[in-house]
Amino acid sequence: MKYKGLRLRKWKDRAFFVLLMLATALALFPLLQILVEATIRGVPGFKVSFFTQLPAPVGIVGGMGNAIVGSLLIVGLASAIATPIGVCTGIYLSEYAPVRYARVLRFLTDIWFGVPTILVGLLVYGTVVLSMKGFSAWAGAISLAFIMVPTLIRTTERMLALIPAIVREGALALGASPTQTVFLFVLPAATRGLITGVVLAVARALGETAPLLFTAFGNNFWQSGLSSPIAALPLQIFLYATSPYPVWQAQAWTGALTLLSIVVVLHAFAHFLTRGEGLS
Amino acid sequence: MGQSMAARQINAFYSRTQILHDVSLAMNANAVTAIIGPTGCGKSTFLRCLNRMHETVAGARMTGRVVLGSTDLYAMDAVEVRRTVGMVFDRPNPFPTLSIFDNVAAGLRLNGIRQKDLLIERVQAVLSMTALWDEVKDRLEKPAIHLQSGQQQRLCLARALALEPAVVLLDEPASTLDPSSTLQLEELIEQLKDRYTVVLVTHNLQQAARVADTTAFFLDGHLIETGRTIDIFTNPSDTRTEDYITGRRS
Ligand SMILES: Nc1ncnc2c1ncn2[C@@H]1O[C@H](COP(=O)(O)OP(=O)(O)OP(=O)(O)O)[C@@H](O)[C@H]1O
Ligand SMILES: [Mg+2]
Repeated sequence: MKYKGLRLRKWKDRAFFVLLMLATALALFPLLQILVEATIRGVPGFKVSFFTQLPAPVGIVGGMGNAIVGSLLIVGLASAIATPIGVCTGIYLSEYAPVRYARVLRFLTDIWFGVPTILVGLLVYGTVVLSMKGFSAWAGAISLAFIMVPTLIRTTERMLALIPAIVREGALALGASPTQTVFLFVLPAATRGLITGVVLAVARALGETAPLLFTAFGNNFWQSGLSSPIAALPLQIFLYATSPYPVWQAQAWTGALTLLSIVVVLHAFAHFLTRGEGLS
Repeated sequence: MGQSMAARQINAFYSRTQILHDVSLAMNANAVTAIIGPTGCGKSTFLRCLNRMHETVAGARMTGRVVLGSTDLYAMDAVEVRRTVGMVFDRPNPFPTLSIFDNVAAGLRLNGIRQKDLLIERVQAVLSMTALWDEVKDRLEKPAIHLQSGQQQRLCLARALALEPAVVLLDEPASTLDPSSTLQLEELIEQLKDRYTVVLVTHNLQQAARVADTTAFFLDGHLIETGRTIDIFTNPSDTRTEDYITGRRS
């Protein structure tokens, strides 16, 4: 018996395969370009002074030391605020929330996740900055925390969902209370997944620029407290990249490469934590 | 010593779907009661009503009573019930992050037992009872998930026994095991009835015939027939039981 149209089907199959490959290549190309470009342009500026010096006028050797410290400070503060809120909400969503609440909460989290980050900045400007009467590290950290929370809720919920139901049942059947089940049996089994979630949220927050524009604002000097404007790597990059001076532009690339390197390392760490578990 | 258990007029639901219809069943002390029936007939649901696991599922509810000795389990605290009525599931579920020792000690620790020597003594006792002691005594600190599935299932049994329950519920405990592990588990079940009341859900009719004193046949959420195992298998009084046992489709 002869199969009609078999040749055509095979041909269609192959054409579709080529199309998919093409789309994938198109998606990966810009990423590759960013990596190559940032490396080529950024590496020459990798000097000790870049990491230790303050920004300086054109002609004087300067660096982004304060911006790097500033970024770490803001993101550290943001993580300290966002992690408990995001992780606890994720635990509530996964382990406690009745189905109907969970659905609503999940929907809200998705909306929250989709809020444009510039809007987050505006919101924090309108509340924190105006009431504190000035830009500050706090304002920057709060806006980044606002961006981290939905990511943390989502990943926490996902990581907990990966713990098989039979682990919970096993604990309950031994006479563990629901809370003992969650805290003594489910969370310990999910620790690495939860850390991964936090690391990924930190990586995302590190690169955010828009919400810092009118919250952290930027600063050309070393930080002297959490209530004054603070420098951040993305802000400094933005400032230098849009400047007319080639020296500054070169420094912007080095700053970008620094940021990129930190993010890549964080992602590699997250990947390492959950290797072979199909988590991330 | 085991205590006899009786389920009285159990109706169980998942949301609005009724799964069990008016099931009453006596389970004798120091005997194995087997529950057989086709997939989805409500065997697990029934078992989970006996230790109040059913109510842990969102939207699940039930009516009726379960009596252990002279105690109404539904008048007790649910957590307390589950310490008195132990359960082993169809798939081995050792706690993935805990060592062999800690898995078995988990229930004891939940009950506030902290003294190291007491824990060691109990853990050794139940591991010996489940024929695991010699196999694992040199690696008690190793993760339990590295054991073979037969060993894992015996570990889960040991974990349940550590709390010295009166009743042990086994929900198709051998369904994922190879034949030799299954045989070993069946031998254990035989021995369990010296001390406990055992309720065994199984798909394997030979298994029911081998280990059970009493057998109950469920169909579509109804208890069709219960009696001495030998009677159920050789001379069932209901044709639906006969059809099921002889493999005839109704
Ligand atoms: N969590 C649940 N939510 C809704 N329906 C459920 C749930 N668990 C089981 N059911 C339904 O209840 C009915 C009885 O299920 P149960 O697990 O008690 O059957 P069973 O006899 O143990 O089957 P099996 O032999 O496959 O284990 C089935 O129709 C099943 O689809
Ligand atoms: Mg079942």
